[in-house]
Amino acid sequence: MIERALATGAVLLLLALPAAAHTETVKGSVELGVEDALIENAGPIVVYLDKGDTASGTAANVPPARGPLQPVKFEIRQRHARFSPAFLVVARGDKVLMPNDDTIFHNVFSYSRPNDFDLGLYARGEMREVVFEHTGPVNLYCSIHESMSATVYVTPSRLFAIASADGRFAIEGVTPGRYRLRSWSRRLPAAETWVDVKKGEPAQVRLVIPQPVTP
Amino acid sequence: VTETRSSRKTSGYARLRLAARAGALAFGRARARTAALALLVAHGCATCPDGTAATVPAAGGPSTLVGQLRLVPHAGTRRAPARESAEVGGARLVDYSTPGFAVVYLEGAPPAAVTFALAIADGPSGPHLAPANGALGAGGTIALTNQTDAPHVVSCPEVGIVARIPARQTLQIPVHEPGPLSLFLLDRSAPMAQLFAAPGPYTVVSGAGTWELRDVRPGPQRVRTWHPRFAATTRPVDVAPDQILQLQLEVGVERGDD
Repeated sequence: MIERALATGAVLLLLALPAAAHTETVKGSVELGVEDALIENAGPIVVYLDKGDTASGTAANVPPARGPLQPVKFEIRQRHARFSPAFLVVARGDKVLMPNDDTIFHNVFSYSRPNDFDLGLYARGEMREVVFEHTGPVNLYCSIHESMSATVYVTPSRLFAIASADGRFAIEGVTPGRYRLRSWSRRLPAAETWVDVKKGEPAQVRLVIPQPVTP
Repeated sequence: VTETRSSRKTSGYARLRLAARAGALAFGRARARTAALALLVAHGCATCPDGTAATVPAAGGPSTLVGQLRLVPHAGTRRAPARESAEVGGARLVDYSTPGFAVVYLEGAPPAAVTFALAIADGPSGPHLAPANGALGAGGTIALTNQTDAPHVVSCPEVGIVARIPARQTLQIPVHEPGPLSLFLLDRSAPMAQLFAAPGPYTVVSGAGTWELRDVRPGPQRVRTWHPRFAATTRPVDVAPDQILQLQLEVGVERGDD
């Protein structure tokens, strides 16, 4: 009797536990559909997924995938009067630390709305931070040094990748469903396509830029 | 932001009015306006003792906006950052003595639909886009001519174009929307051009920071600035007929629109 009760309890416990989310990898390539155009000259290309509304075409973004298993610390350091790194991709809501490693004062600011900010002037050893609440590109500058510029691209979730020099990318941890795959590069027009991610079937996507202009 | 506003109550204004009238007698109305404008800019008499700007009213025609655009350092910036910057390899400083590429424009009236000529030209370090900066009105066209003997690929993200331009050929790029435009040569890693498409009458600020907008329609206007490094500013003004209105504009980290 006791054994039966324990077995029943075990079954109920298993039923109560959430099933481990099955995820797939979205692989693909960004290509330039123009003769003589070199993808490696396009600079960093960000590709990311969101849950665009298929009915209205408007975006309904994937909530940022955070959790204890994904502690991520982002930094853009000020060193030798340059930002390092000069390009960073974060998810909406992420915090980026900005320490000054130089022996001189720096200022970090951006007028990229709605992520605009001004951290003021600060000296060596000091650190300021910015939480990026909105998606899109954010251009960073120093008001003192011409050589200091950087770009932060804010994606709607952690479902993103930076394409390699030949344009290939892989976005891991994607739960099955229908997604909109979008690309952004400072040097290229934005592009997007739809991808169906199915359980047990790694998705393959090819994004060709430029895309036909829709009237 | 420093601003000078029109006033008809000051002695400075009276002097200018006399100057304008004298000019009108001597050279006719159009030349009189030019003469008065020269007086305003060259002699600094446009700013009256009470800090307001002088105006030259006449009979109901378009007006002229004129002024200076100045870059303003961040509050608290030390006066001699160059010596300190030498400690980190002589980092290049932002030059606040000149605005660099900047545009002053108006909202609310359509700009002239012009064609902006841009070229891919050979240079000592290879092909590049020339000029590197410029402005046009939204609704205009960029005529991009490949002046070299080889094909090149150009990209303009804001208008969704990636195109190959054969040698000695011209690509017409219509610009429908106002805002900044970046053009890149995708067969090379670096060269780019930065343009700005204005939604209304516009002018590119000179290296000395002066600017002038002629034939401005009387009435309420929004004078806006665009700079590639700093936030845009907006200055609402009420333009009287046949007025020469002087505006001092400032751009900087802490000067952008709220």
